Amino acid sequence: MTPALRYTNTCACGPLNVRVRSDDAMLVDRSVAMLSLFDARWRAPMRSVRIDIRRTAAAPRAATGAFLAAGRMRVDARAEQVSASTTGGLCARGFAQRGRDVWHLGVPDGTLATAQAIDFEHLIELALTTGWRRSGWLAVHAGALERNGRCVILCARSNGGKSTLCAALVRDGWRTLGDDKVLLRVRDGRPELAALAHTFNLDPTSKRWLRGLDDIEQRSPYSAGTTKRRVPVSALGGAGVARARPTHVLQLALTGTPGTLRATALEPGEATALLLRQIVIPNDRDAAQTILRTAARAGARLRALRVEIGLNSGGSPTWSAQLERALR
Amino acid sequence: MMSASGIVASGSFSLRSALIATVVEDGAVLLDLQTKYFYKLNASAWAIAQLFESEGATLADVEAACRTWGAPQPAAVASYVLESFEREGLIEPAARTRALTPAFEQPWVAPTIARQAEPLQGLVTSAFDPSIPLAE
Repeated sequence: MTPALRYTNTCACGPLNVRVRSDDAMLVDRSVAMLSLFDARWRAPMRSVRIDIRRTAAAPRAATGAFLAAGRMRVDARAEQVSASTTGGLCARGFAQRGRDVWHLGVPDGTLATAQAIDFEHLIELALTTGWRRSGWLAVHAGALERNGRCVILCARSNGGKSTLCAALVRDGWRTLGDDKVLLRVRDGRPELAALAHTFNLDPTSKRWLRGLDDIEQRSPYSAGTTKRRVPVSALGGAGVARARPTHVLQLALTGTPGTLRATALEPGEATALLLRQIVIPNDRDAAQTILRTAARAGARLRALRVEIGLNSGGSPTWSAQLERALR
Repeated sequence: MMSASGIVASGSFSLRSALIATVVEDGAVLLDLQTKYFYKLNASAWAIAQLFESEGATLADVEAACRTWGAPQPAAVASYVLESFEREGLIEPAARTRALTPAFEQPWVAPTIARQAEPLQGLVTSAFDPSIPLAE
């Protein structure tokens, strides 16, 4: 019989209620640090996820990546079972059981190197994205903001200015669903967004563009792999919103004249492509089909714009008004 | 070396198994899971593509379907679409031929097949982060 795991903690991550257990307190703490990135509290967590983490001396059986190859992680899937391994020697095996997900993570003995710490975070993310997908939501790597009945999905690559523009607009009264992670689904033919986090992940250099972030280096790090820091939306003087119906999807580019914002309309079909670029698409046909269908249905209801901004010191007080004009 | 028209004129084809599709109001979108290229097909092109969803279809099957659907110059339309599919790598040779002609009950328009300039995802770093640069 498998011995009970001594240390445990529970976090709500959007529609998931995640319970982590381990014999290693550090691994539980590390998991909670990761899970707490998704700190938007939903009224009713719908799906239970249990993650049991054990130290192991044995090398894991390597996954092939048939389902997903993501950086140092390879993932295989068959029916409701998912297995993953990383080049750092970590592994995960998860399965759906009576409407909940159960995951077993294996972590090599000893202190985790930085790369292994990133692997660990990626395995936790795998458990989360799997749970969100099984709950009917797609994880979208995008920011989202809402004001006066307009809701924009903000798409850009990593370090592409999502957080900076979100933070600037939040200070001008926009409400946010997050700066780079939101959930998307289509219900009754209309796209719906849900917030996962009320914390922005800002690069310390953001203080050059945003006032009031002089202490950003003292804030908690976002993850093992970046220099970004966690900044609560409230610390930016803004407010969050839990759900919204998106009306626009924006392709953000940091190419404008400093301090300016310029918006141009894109072809209608671009909305779907923009969304798909921000969603990890597994190689698995069924999972990919669900993503394609959701993105296409959502994209058909959204107007797509390309927005060019130029960062400058001291903020850009005209961005909000310029964006609102472009959304009309 | 055979020309594209020579290749498509000579055999039976089906959609590649790496392709997935979903219907939208004015046609369909296709995604190639191997290359991550994304295609937009209008309604006429999607009707033709569906011929290749079954066990296999030939140029003659496409031409016959186009004629049924009221396409002007069905032979030219069939050649154009089949060569486009072949050029984009959307079809592969099929062992058999058994085309089922789908219903097409709207006014015929010239088929269009538009591929996104860049593949959707080149490098995925985590289960959450596609980490691809948007065209800027």
